[in-house]
Amino acid sequence: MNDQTTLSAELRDAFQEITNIGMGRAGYALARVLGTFVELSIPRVQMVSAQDFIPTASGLIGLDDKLVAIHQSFFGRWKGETITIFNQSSCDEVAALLGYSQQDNKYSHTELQLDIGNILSGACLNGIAEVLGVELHYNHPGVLAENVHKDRLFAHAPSHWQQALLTEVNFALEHKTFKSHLLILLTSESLANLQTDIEKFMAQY
Amino acid sequence: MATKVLVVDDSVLSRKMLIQSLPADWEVDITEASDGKEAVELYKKLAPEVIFLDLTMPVMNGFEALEAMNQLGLEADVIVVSADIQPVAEKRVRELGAIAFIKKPVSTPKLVSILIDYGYL
Repeated sequence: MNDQTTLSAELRDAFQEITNIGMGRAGYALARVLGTFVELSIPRVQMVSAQDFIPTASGLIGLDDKLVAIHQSFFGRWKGETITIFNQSSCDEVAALLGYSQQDNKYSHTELQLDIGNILSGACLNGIAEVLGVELHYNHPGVLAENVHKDRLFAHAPSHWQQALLTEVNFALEHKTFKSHLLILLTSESLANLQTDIEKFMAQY
Repeated sequence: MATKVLVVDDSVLSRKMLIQSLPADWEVDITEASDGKEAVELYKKLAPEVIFLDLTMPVMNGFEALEAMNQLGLEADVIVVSADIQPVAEKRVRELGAIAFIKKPVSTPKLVSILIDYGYL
């Protein structure tokens, strides 16, 4: 296998910038859906081992209230998973922005949470993939944790990889309470492809 | 005489991409800054004529840097080069005096048309 456990500083900077562009596109998509300005963060990119994942990921989360975590795996040219984390209390606010009414029984609480996770992670990951001309496929999202504080979010750590590239971005809605973190994990077996894709992108300049 | 240009972005790649996208026949004297605070200091010190400004940066972001330059009296032509492509972001920087808003990744034709409009080419 082409497992890679490191990424050069130059490639990490490049991936951070490409993530920034992808996130900008995601922010635009979200702003249109939600009708509000989306505040974007600077992406944080690092390699992480499975055994360090829980403390590293918890350390990236800056939210202190009760949280929900939605995870979704993806495959294709890159493999990995996304974990979208947001404050539980802002679910109703987002439901209202998305046009779901309280009387609307077609949408359960869980479906709404899965939708939020799906919209955020899909928009951001697709944005990144689009910049690099890569197509990805997604499995169904699932609830990883709900109604817990950040130290209990990752009680069930991912076990199907040893090393991964961990990228964290965060989105907040201006003048709203909704705040979220998106973690993107790319498994080490995807890094050789990712490196080729970044080099191809950089060669245009 | 070479035009004094300040390129502001926290990403090395992004600065490199922008500089590579500048037309080859434009005579420029380029200085780089990696955050808004450094940009404001270089703005005071060098009085650049053209500033390429990123928005999402550590220490001081592009919106804040533009506000600080306004307080000093904005004399430069500021072209915002941004990954944040929300219409609200563009509206805000234009209100702060930016002459143009370019989406990342930058394209040379777009840059050239702005530079022609403002008499640099």
